[in-house]
Amino acid sequence: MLKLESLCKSYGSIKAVDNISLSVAPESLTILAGADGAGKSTLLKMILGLVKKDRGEIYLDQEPIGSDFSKITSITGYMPEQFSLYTDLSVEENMNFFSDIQQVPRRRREDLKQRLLEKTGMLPFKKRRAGALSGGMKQKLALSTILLSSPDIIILDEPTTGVDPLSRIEFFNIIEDLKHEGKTIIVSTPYLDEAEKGDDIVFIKNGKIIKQGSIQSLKENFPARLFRILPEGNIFEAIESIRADDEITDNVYMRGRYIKYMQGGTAGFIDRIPAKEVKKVSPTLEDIYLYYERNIHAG
Amino acid sequence: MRIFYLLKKELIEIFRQKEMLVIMFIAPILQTIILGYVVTTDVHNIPVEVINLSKNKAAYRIANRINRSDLFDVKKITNQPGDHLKTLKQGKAKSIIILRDSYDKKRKPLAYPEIQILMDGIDSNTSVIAAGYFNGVARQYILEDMRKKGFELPLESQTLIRFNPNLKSINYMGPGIVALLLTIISMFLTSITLVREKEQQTMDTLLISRLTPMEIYLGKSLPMALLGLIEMGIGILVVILVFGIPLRGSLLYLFLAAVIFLFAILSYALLISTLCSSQQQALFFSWFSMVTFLLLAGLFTPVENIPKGLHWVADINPLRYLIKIIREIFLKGNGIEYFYKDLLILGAITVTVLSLSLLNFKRLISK
Repeated sequence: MLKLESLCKSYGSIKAVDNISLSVAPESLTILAGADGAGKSTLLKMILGLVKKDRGEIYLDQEPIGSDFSKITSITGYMPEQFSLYTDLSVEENMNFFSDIQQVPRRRREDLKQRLLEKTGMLPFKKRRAGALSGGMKQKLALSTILLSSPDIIILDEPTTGVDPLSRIEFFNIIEDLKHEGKTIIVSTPYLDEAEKGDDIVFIKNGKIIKQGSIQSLKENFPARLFRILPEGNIFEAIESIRADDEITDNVYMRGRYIKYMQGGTAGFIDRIPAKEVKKVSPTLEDIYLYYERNIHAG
Repeated sequence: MRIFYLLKKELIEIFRQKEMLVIMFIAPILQTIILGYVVTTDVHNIPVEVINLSKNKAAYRIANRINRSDLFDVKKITNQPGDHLKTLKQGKAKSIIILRDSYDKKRKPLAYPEIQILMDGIDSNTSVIAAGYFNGVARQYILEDMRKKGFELPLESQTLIRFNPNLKSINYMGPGIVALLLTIISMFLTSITLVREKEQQTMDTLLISRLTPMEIYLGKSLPMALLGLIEMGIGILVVILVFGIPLRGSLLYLFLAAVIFLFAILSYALLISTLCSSQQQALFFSWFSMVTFLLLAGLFTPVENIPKGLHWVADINPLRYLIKIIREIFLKGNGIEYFYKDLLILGAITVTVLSLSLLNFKRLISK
């Protein structure tokens, strides 16, 4: 449905988006994961024409859109990274305003508003000013407003940054519901636990895709063996001694009272650690991200 | 139609901010009154020392006239010479009038004294006006005295002052202050609210909602224009009721000029907002622009006094035209046939600046 081909954007000498190609399947949840400054927001804004691309093309249903971004914006709901509604207006007034400018037909407006506020749990707060809502509620309100126009594509830029854990869970439940309703959703996030919920996970670093795939395929194709090690002595001393070994430094990290080691081509390191327990484990998404983040030098 | 929704939203937001409302509606009344009293070129109570070294009767009478005048605050009348420079340096007096006997070529005393006026020239404007007052008092006395003695001047000019016969500066400044109010409210608030949309990323939301830059401009500026016109109405009332300045022309023309001016100044506000990325920057830019517009508007000094190199700035300054039109309507009672050219220039400024702003706006939103 939506295809990005060789998209590039530079600000001076900084390549914010560096030759990114990506296909977004219809009715799927695509997650763009990466650290702050990886280029996720720029990429999303480029899809909407809010940031001008230097090079590349965007296709919608196999048709290149060229510079006519209205083809995308007319079927897309976009939620920017920052809360972008009017804090002096109430929840209901914000909904009304966006219904008005998105020209939602009057006859279905009330029903739609009611359903969306119910769905997001915002109905009891409809008279409250947006500025007085909690972080999680603000994001739910923002999501509700973009759903008013019943968009086919939903683009959410770090929707849960700064939101409490419970609201994050609730928010992603709504996103999953929307996917099941047939929406195509693209979400950027720095949180890997959220990324796991995606049908397609795209790791971005320095404006480049460093790895992409479903959680299943990422796990199956993980190129290293992962060990969980319980050291004999003090874990910090163990880590220090490991870090002295240049060859393996990048592939070792601490998780609680364990050390995790991603063994690539060379073997033998395990034997050099005095350990109470060494166990081969399957990788989590965090392990996978760290592996590619450390081993693939994107720019 | 979508402009209407944006306009409605703007008005709700404005009226929710109680502090802002106070600033918007109380401040113009206070500003007009304070500025009306303060921003004046009339000179009163000039501190003066009179040193009368003459034994002449005329010198005594001129000194007395100066003493009785409301224009001067006579600190001292003496017949002893002193250190005049020290007196001026200490600021005890801004001018010193020295009256001495004058003589003809045969050293025979003349009927009228020699008058020397020493002025503190730091405030050049006041000095020039005060010197004019002194000369006027002396000349008037001499004329009256000559007439009493049966002499008539062979040539005498008569001055007839129209539109502001008493030369009251408030009549000249008051209507200008109304124009100033309109500039402050419309330029500051519009540039700030537009930049706030950018800062809060609501601009992205509006653009994704398929609003065009022109619709956003109109939706954001029309409420400010409306408020500006209300403020102007308040300002006009204050100028008429508090300062008693007569409105001789048509109120309709006044508002017509104000509406055209508003579009010009709001185009500048849009341009400022496209150049700024934060509200602080917008505030600074607006302030800088307003001071420039104000100084080159002919409010305090005539536009003709502006150096030639800066004339082009005055030419693209919408405030200059509005002040001129408002004064014409207020004081001369002029109809549109006298200032339609100024309205056309305002229209041309609007079209040019608005086109530039919209181009810049479109460039920035897809940077």
